[in-house]
Amino acid sequence: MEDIKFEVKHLNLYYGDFQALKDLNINIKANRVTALIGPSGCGKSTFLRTLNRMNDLVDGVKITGEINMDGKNILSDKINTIDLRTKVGMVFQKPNPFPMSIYDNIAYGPRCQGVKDKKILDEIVESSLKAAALWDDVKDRLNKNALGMSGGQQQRLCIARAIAMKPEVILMDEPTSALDPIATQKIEELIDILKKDYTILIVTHSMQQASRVSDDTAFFLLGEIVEFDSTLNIFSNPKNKKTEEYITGRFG
Amino acid sequence: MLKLDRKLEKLETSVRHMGRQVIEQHKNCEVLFEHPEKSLARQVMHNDEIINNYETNINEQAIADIVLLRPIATDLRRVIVAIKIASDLERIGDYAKSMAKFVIKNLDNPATLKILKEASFIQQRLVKMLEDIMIAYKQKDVSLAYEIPTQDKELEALLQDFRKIVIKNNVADLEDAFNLSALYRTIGRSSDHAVNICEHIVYLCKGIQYDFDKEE
Repeated sequence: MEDIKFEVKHLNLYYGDFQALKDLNINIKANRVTALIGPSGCGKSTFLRTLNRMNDLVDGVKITGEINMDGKNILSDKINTIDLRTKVGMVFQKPNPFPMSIYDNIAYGPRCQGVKDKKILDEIVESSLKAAALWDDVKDRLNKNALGMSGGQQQRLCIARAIAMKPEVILMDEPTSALDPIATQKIEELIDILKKDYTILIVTHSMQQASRVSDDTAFFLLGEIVEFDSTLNIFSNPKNKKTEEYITGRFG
Repeated sequence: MLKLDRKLEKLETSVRHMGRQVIEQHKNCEVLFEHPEKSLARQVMHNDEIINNYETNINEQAIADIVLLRPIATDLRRVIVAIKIASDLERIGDYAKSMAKFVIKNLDNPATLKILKEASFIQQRLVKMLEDIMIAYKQKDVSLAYEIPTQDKELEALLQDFRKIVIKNNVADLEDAFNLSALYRTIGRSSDHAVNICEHIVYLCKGIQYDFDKEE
């Protein structure tokens, strides 16, 4: 029996009058990769952002329901969102390294948390870059500006930067849509390795990526979860006709 | 209509054409059992090559569809099932060739030919079963696919009767008796492969692997 990382109960989310998420009930299992798929505007990114309260930053957002992470409701007012976002890291569609050295990109988070010891920082930088399969590429130029790296390297740096905070969960919002096929493959391989230590959720528009990297898949449509099952079931024998239409490109 | 839909339709059409060809072969065998003659038997043996070519062609189409169009879910099942049905049809076709060979071999053996006539009725049942199967495949009719295997059971019973006829007619030559038993086995095996096709149709329609042998 796998552990459950997030237990989502009756989650509703409104942007003003518009209801973006409708009564979501889903259990996200720990140490697995869960893919969120669905057409644009279906709520999958919005859902991803509720998991580290990124939607708090949007004006006029209203959320009801519960998201229990390891038994604690992360939607509660008592939750420290900075702590939460340390535990639940995020990687975005476009690589967004800070305009500083590779080393400082990784060390930025730990330094903010008060880590000053150079030796400890060195260790964090090395282990994070190794975990993101980037160490061998950059170990000789840690002091070079991160913006000089290739797109694929920048994205792996962003993953390393998230890992440096020792998160439990990594959220990825279309992490490879701006990358070429080789860089995409490296990220996908990385996701497969990282799931041993982290729970990963990935929003993707590529059906093949969802089927290659994920263990479970949730299909979103108009703010609802239409079907949630093992990726094998979703892609071999989906129960819902809408799911089949979407994954086979017959939608709409 | 998606390109994938058109390609899969084409693939399944090839399988249906192949099925029609196989049925034609077995119909000719039915005629041969009733009226043994050389030229039709030769034609059946010769036409087996056409069926083999169908299978090769279907496999090539299926590989191209998988590689180029990456079908998933029902689409993937359509491709897999086309390959599997083509493979069973090819075997059923081979048995028609064996039957034609048997007829040629025994043209100057009146005792055997007399018993062979009795088999034409069973062969007729096999043809009917194959025709029903191709209808079930075309219409993706899963309930028909579930029903057809009862015909296999009936056919099996008829084959048992046929065996008794062989024994009762007291075929003097032991070799003739062996040959006749090999012949009725070819009908039985064809029917077994026909049941396999029913299983493929169930898989196509419902995505579950069904085994008719385990029914009872």
